[in-house]
Amino acid sequence: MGISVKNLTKRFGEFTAVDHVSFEVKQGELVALLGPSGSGKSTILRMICGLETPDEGEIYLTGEDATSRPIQERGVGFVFQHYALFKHMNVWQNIAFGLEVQKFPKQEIKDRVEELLRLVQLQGYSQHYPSQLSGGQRQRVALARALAPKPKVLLLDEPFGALDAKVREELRNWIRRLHDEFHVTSLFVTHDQNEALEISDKIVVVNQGHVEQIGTSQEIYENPQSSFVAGFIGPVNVLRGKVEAGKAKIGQFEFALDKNMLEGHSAVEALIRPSDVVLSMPSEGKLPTGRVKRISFLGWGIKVDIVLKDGQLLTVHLTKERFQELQLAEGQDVYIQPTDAKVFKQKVASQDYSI
Amino acid sequence: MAKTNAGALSLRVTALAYLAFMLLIPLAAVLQDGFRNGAAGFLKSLLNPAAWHAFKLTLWTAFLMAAINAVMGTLTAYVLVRYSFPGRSLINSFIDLPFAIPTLVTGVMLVILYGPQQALGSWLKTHWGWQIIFAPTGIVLALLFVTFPLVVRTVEPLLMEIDPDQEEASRTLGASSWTTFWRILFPAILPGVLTGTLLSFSRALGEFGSVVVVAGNIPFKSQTAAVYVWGEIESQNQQGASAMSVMLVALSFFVILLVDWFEKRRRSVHAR
Amino acid sequence: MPVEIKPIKPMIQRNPWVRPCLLSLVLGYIAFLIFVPIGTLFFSAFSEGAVSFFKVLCRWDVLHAFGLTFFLSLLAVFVNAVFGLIIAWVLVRHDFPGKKFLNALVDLPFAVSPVVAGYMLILLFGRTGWCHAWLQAAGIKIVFSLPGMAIATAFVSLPFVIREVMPVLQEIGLEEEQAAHTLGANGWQTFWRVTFPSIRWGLLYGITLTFARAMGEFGALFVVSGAVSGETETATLFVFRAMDERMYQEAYAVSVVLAAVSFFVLLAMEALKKRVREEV
Repeated sequence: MGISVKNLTKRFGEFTAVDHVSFEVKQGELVALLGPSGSGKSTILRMICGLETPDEGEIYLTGEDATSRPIQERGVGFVFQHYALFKHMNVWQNIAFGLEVQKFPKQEIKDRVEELLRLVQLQGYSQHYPSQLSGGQRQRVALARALAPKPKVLLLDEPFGALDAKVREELRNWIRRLHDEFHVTSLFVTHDQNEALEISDKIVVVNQGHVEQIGTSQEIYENPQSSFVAGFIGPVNVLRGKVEAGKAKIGQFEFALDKNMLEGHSAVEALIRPSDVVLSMPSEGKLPTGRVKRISFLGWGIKVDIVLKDGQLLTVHLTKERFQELQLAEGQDVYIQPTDAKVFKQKVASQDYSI
Repeated sequence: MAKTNAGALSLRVTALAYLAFMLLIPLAAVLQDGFRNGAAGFLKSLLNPAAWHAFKLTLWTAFLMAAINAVMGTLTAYVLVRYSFPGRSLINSFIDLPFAIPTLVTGVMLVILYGPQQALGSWLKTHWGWQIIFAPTGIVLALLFVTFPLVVRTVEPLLMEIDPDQEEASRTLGASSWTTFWRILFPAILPGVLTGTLLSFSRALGEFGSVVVVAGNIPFKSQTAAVYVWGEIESQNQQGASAMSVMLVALSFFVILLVDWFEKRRRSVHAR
Repeated sequence: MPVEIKPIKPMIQRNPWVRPCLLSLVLGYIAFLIFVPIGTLFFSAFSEGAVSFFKVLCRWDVLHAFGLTFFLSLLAVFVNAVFGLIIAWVLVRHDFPGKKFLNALVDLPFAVSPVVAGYMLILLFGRTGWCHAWLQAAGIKIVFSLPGMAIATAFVSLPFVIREVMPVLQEIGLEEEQAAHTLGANGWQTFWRVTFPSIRWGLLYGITLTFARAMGEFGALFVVSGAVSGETETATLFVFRAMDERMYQEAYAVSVVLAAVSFFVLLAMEALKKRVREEV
């Protein structure tokens, strides 16, 4: 149920923006469509809504084939990045629009608009015009407007892209709250991985027109299936090396190889999260070492940049307490123990997502 | 973009039908008639002495008017944008008056003012030997009136886009007003000046209402091409009327297309 | 489109005579070109007293001429507003082969001399015209009659609504219309409730320009109407006949009325221009 997309393809001339994409959003789920600019995620969303027509593939909304249905008949609520509020109507009229146009009874319109105004906490603003509202307020109106005619599915296209960081955070909570209240199947497009990780039940990672991975925030963060996903979600170090004697040898480190994944490839890269590294003071032993190049204070923790023996750079995130324990200084040598690393075949330089 | 469904299609058909009926078919009619006797017949009508003179007169009066308009229109735009003086808003509103006033009334006004029987007209004739009415001077004057807003309104927005800091920078570097104007302002407003001038030229080619009153219908003296066409219609000389009509429309339309193309190029270069 | 004028503060000039010189040149030019002729017209029209002025206006052929002008202008406005909206919509929101050609074609009436416009209609509907036989059979008279004059007036004033609405449609963009579609509105509902309120000032401005042009039309009507007094004579045609027959006071009086009306139209134009700028 919910949204089901099969083999969706869209080409613009020679360029394939969306390449045989398939995924599902279960009834009542809140799913993020996450990817960099140009990955095709907005195009996918617009095809589901009916604003674009797919060249191939099918779209099912609540079980029914909606592929060739016109926009008006799909029962889809859409929230635009730049709100698209009706400039010459006030807040009340904007929210009521869908209800009026779909001929809901007068009393029901009144009740529903009031309910939504309460939910987005804009009760005193019903007579205001969009130009009199802040960006955050406008987007709340846009949300309320889209939800008013009880859509089967809610689509949001980078809904907070046009707002500054603080407002974005507040609005993330609004979306989650509204979703918990109405349980509308929702799909939102974003390039902000924090947003995706924080509020969605599931994430569909998209890159260059196809799906890289689908999973929960935790699954995607901890078990990335490709170096792209690993690099795109969360900060990551990329260390290069090669296959030697059945293991991945990267500088002084040795990592186990997933034979199936790396069949026939000799150049590999290890993706290591900065928080997945344990540092200790050098003593007797043969742990890999590196030299501390720079220490930066990040507010919630400390960032330590280390130069490895083979010249590659490794960034490590430490809690303030751990840093105090170690008493590190720039120019010092440290022992390095990665606790987790994902090894993939080496990527072409242009797709480097390391810090 | 709108999908091709029944509603969209019927809109498109309506639009096309209206334009075809109102514009294409009449245009085709005059084209067909002009070339009724082939290209030879067309040329022969145009090269007939009265026709040829009318055409030349139209061209040079339009050209002279365009030149004067280019200068005065630009200066007017500059004064309106850069200077503040009492009555500026009022004058600014009146710039568009020639667009609102019937061209025939324009002609009447000029005749009242400069007619040979009138005080000003006869004074000018006796003291300066200038004849305004029934002479090319009157034609140029009438054309200047009806096309006045064109250059002003195309130059204005460009002037306003110019960052005043640029002019101030130029001054601090020692440039005189004139140098500043020539090297900073003029290149920026030149496209507007060109557009406005070309549009007024195109407009002038077909001007009738004011010209027919001011200049009359004296062949070989003050008969413009449009008036010539009217004369040919009156004397039932269809070939003559059609040929000149085609010539006028072709020239005017060509200039307008030039302006459109020029504007499109400028805008796409401008869009950073 | 012209924009609100805000003067820049004048700097200390090296040559202080530039400003007054330029100012007098330009103001003098405008006075000479525009204000003096208008002033003279008004002066001459009232030179034999206000009573005589109003007596002229009460002549029945003058009244009929005004009525006809008004009627034809309103008709042209109505037709060109409706079709103009449709054409502007199609040119901005649709994509189809030949769109560029159609877009250029809309400028044709600006390139056609009014006499030629009237002449085209004669070629189509006159005695030797393309449609003549067909019209005769149907008993419809176009040339030298009201229908022809209506078509001529509509022709010369055709582009204004289109040219004023198109940029506004372009500016307001698709998103609001798309939003309305997602909320369930069909094409008509979307147009009326979302698009139309956004373009109404541009539309009104275009209508004002259409009206001004239609009211002032002379050349095409001159050719197409036969100018039969009391039947197919508009205000402008009357003025011409009056000048021709040396009925100068009559000509001036009607001219003054036309000038006055166009003056009010001008005020409406300027007010609407400001509104259009604010909206977009």
